[in-house]
Order: sequence, then C-alpha cells, then structure tokens
Amino acid sequence: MVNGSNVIVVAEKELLESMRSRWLITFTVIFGLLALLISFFGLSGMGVGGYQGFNRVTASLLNLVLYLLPLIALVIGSASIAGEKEAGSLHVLLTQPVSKSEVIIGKFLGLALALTASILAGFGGAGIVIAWKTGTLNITDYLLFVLLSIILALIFLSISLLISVVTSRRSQAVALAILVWFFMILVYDFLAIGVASLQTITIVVPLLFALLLMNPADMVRVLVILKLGGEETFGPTLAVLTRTMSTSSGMVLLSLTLLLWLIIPLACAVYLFSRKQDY
Amino acid sequence: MNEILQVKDLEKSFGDFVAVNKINLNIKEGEIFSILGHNGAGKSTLIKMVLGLINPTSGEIWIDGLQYRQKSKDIKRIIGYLPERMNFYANLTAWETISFYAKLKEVQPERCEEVLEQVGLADVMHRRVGAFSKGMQQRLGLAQAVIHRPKLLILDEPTTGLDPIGIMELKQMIRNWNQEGTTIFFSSHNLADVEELAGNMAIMNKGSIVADGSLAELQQKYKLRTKIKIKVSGDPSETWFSQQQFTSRFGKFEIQDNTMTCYCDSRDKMDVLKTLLDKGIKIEDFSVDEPGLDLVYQEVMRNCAIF
Repeated sequence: MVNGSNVIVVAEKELLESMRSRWLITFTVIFGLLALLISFFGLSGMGVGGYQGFNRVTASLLNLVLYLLPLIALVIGSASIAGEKEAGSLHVLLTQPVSKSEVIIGKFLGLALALTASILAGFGGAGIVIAWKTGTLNITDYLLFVLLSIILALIFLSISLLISVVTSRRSQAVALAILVWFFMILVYDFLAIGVASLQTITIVVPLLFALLLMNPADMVRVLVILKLGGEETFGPTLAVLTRTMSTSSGMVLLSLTLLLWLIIPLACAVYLFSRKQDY
Repeated sequence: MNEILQVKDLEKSFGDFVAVNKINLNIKEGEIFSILGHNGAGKSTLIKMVLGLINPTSGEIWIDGLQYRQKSKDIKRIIGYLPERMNFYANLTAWETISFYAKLKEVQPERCEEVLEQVGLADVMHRRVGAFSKGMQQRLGLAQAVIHRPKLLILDEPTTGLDPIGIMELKQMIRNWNQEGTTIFFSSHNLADVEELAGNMAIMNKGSIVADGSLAELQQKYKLRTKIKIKVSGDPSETWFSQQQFTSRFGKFEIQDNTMTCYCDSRDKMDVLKTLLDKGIKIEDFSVDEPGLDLVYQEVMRNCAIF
C-alpha cells in the first residue's frame, strides 16, 4: 500500500523546508546555548567533578529537555499539515500520485530527521564540555540520555501530527499544540503531586503509576532518574515510583509504553487523515 | 473522439445543503471546456470531486475510463491541477519545488528546467518561493500542473490574480498545450476568457447545470440576435423599402438618418446584406455585432430566476 519512494520524496522536502525554518533554527541556537551554559557552569566553580558532577548536570539538562523539546516538536509538527491546508498546497500535493498515508509518514520522517539533527547539534556542545570536565567515563549514560531526549521529541512530534490533522488552520493547530504542552508539561505534575499527597499508600502507588504511563514526558523523566540512580535529587513525588520501576520488568514496561506513545498518535493521524475529506 | 471525463448524476451535499445537484458532463479528448457560474454556484465542489479530493454523495466520475478508489494513483498520473489560490513552500526555491513534484510524478529531472522555461520562471528558479509575487506563484502552479504532460488539465479560475500580460500569456500557453493534445477543463467567472478559449461550456447555478453547449448553440437556443448596422449612401428616404416586408423576414430593425440597425438571427447575416444589395441599395459601410457570452449568460440567469 505505502510506496517507500514517495515517503522518501515527501520526507526529503520536509527536511529541506524545516532546516530553513526560523522556528527550528532559533530553537537549535537557544537549546544549544542553554545546554552549553548549563554544562559549563554546572561543572565549574563548585569543584564538583566526576560522576556526581555529571549527575547534577544531567539533572539540569533533563529539565531543559523536558520543557523545550516537547514544545518545539509540537509547534513544528502541528503547523505541518494544517499549514499546508491553509496555504492551499495540500490540495496540490494530494492531486499528485501520492497517498495520504505516504504524506503523513513522509512528513513525520522528514521532521523527525530535522529535529534529531538539531537536538544532536544542541547536545554536541554540552557533551564536549562534560567530557572535558568529567572525562569520558559517563559517555554511555550521556548517549542514553540523548537517545531518550530524541525519543521524547519524536513522541511529541507524533502527537503534533495528530493535532495537525484534526485542525484546519495553522494558528488553530499551534494553539492546540501549546495547550497540550501546557497541560502535559506544566499542569500534569500538579496532578501527580496531588495524588502523592493522598494518605492511603495502596491508592497512591497505582494511581501514580497510571498517571505516569499516560504522560511520556514523565516516563522519560523517570527513566533518566533510574539511569542516574539519583532519586533524592528529584524530590518525593516520583521517588515512590522510582523504587517500583527499578526492576527490569518496570524498565521494559516503560520502554514499551513509550514505543506505543510514538506509534499510536501517528497511526491515528494516518487513519483520520486518510478518511477525512477536506471540507 | 473518446471522452476523457464523464460525470454521471453527480451529487454532493453537506448536511441539508446541496452543493452539486445531479450533474452530467461529457468532455471529449482534445477540447477546451469551461464551467461558468457565480461564486458559490458549486464549481469548486465539482472540481474537487473530479480531482478526487472529496467524495461524491452519489453519482459516478470516469476519467479516461478509470474511477477513483480502485485507480486513484493512475488517475492522478494523467491529470494536472492548478488551484485558484495557493502558496507554495516559502522556504524552497522554485527549482526545489518543481523537482519535488517531478519526483512524485516520476518525471525526468530535465523536464523541470523545460517547464520552468515554458512558464517564464527560468531566470528566478533559484530564488525562494516565499519572495514570489502572486503571479509568479501562479506560474509555478502551472509548471507543476503540466510537468508530466497530463491528458487532462484542470484549472480553477486560472486568470484570477494575474496582470493583463500574464493573462495573455496564460491564454497562449493554454492554447499551446491544447494543440499538443491536452484536454483543458477550467472554471471561470470571467466571461471574456471563456468566450475566447472554450469550445464548449456549461453554466452552473445553485449546484445544477442550467445551460451547456458551444457559444453558437447557446446563442441559438436563447434566440439572441445579431446586430447589423448598415450605412447607405444616397437619399435614405427613397432607398428604404417596405419595413413590414423586411421585419417579417429577419426580425426587428430601426432606421435613423441613413443608418439601419437590424437584429437578426446570426445565420441570416448574409441574407440581410444580399436582400439590400438586390434592391439596388448602395451600402457604404456596415458592422456586425454578435451577441457575446455576456448576453447569453444574462439570459440564462434571467431564465433561472423565473423558474
């Protein structure tokens, strides 16, 4: 059904377009600069080096990643289909011998590549600083952290394409995307804190667990915490869960759920877009 | 001649609103066919159904013997489409944009340059499309529509937004492509463009086709008269013959000084002149004014209002 070469052609165009988009360029610069500053100042002055210093910096970088990556992924993805709808180029695209699923998958791949490149560029500078200050001992942990960050961005990209399919104007899509970001990144943790402050521990753990699986950003947070083994750094909210999830079955569950978060919104986008008529 | 586009009992409704109401169309290979109508008459909905962008509520569309659903991609390979208004990808150059469509349509890269040359964008092909004027975007749209030498070219209000020179050039391109064998199906509310280009046309009103045929057929159907102005030499009072005799034969006419204005059937033009000449009247000058599409259109719309 899906023609691979069509997907590649669409992805190529999307990559070219987004590498020249002001949004992504601005994001790359800001993200790279902040990551560099965090790693540089986090590791100098206080005389903390080695493993402990690395953990401190990764914790700070984690916050940057959790706020910034979902936001940029949501913004660039949500504008893609809705923007083309508004500009009228979508009609022309759909009269080419290309199917709607090829369009969505191609767009996802192109944007994913652009986003990954810009995240890698951003982490590159910070990585060099970390290696210089703490040595290359932590390289696998750092790479794993980068990988999780990329997965996080791609999950939100997948969600953003779904948003883009259900809206019809660029401004509407971006507004909805920011709302989703606001809820999942800012408001959601208050829910978790509320749940954690409940008295009965038998209710708290399963509830928190469910809340965790419903938010990919929090899952990435927990995975990074587990990897760093620094639960105390992140406060009590997630500490309970951290212990529950430390087992290997917990890790597998988290990874699988992340994978589902990556696939399901994109699959929904493909399904809805293929069925949808434009008016 | 084969029919390249056949539309049978096509209907599209959005809730209670019927946008396109039981339309039948037959467009032969090699012709230039125009669909005319006010804004909101259903032209765009019809075009979108023909393009496969929206599904009809009922009815059938056959394009070169193929139908959507089974053969969507095959159909898309033989049609080219230019929308009324659109913006291309602002961050890509004209060359990159056209290459993108060329790859999707599996056209050789050499063709890109050729087609950009054809629409007059060769000099600016490495500039970003975001900086293009409306007219240049329209040209790029045309390039994209014809790059694969489509059998059927569908243009939605192609002259909107173009300057007078652009319109002239576009018309010439349309004629050239048509001569090369492309069937052209275009919508317009510019009567002059339609009159100039289209062999056959259909007029839409409130979702239905209210009149169709060639201009001559429509003139005849609505009994629109050709106006002939004849200036005679000599003393007019003596040269004029019996008005009654003339009126009964050709229709109404008026005389003022030495000029006669006659409203007759288009086919009787020669007879009018012959009759005058036979009677020994010396004709100094004459002019013929055929009823244009504007009059046909007015007449059609007047009839719609009555029924």
